[in-house]
Amino acid sequence: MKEDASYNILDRIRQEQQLNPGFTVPDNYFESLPGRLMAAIRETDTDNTPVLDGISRIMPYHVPQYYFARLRVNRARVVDFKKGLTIAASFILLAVSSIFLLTPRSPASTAGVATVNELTNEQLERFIQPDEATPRDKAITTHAVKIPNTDMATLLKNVPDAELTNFLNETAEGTEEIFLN
Amino acid sequence: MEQYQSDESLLALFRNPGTKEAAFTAIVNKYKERLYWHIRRMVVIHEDADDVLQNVFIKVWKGLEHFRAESGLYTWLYRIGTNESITHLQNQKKKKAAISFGNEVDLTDQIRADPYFDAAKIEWKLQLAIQQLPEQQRLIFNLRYFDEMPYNKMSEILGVTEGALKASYHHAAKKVENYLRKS
Repeated sequence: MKEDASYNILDRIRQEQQLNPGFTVPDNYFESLPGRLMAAIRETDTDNTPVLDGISRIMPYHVPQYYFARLRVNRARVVDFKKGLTIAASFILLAVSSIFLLTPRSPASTAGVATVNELTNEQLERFIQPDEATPRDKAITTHAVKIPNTDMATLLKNVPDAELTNFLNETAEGTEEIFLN
Repeated sequence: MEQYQSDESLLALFRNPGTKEAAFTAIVNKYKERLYWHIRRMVVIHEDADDVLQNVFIKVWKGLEHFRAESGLYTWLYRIGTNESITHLQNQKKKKAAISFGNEVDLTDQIRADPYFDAAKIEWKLQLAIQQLPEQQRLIFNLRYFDEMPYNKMSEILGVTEGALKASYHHAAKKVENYLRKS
């Protein structure tokens, strides 16, 4: 029953399409199609370009004189990235080690290290915390400071007061100049 | 006229460490002018063409030992030259876009800025017309029109079917023709 019904529906559509066709093509479309296609193919093959065909194929651009004769491929530019990186790293390493090895160490600093090495732990602690210094240490420090004072007094004992005043004035003037400049 | 050795013999010489450098020099001498002009048509400026040409030959030096000769040496060189030129143009576009925020100086302006440029000469007009083409059409047009390269060779270099190349060249030639008629 169903098959018969569908057959009837399709048959009816077919009959309607024959009476009122939905899509149309221009007259003689299919008849003229092969000819038009061949013409298009021929046009592509022949490339009818009269203006273009009349132009010389010599390039108008100029090249510097003897460019081709002198052309050399700069193979120095052929350096792999990894190789370049290795070379750069080696140079840096070499530079750092030479700075470290060739820079002379100051004798003062080594002497200082040697002197510090000779001190006892107790002395070092006192140096770090001066407030807690023992009276004995204080006496040593006072004595050490006093020595240059007595020396200075002895040295300047025989110098006349006028000379000393002159010297101090000259020094003071010089300092002023320095600051002013 | 200079006599050049065949590509096969040059390749054999290049693979021999004793004759490698001499073979490379011979390859450079054999192809330098053709490659230069192929690149110059794409990048326009001599300095850029020289730079790209150097890069091409450096790549040849590095890669020729592993070249399997499935395609001809000539095809392989043109392929490297084409890729390098396109890469150069893309890099330039990126640089210009970054610098001028869209006010890019195109190749037409660079042609006009050439000290030998003569707007009245048809050869220069042709160069201006070519610059109106999209990049791929320009490449195809240059290879076909100036190098008179067969479509099968072009197909090997560009990896495009011969049919597509013919159609592309046809469209490019029509556009150039129209430009020249109008100007």
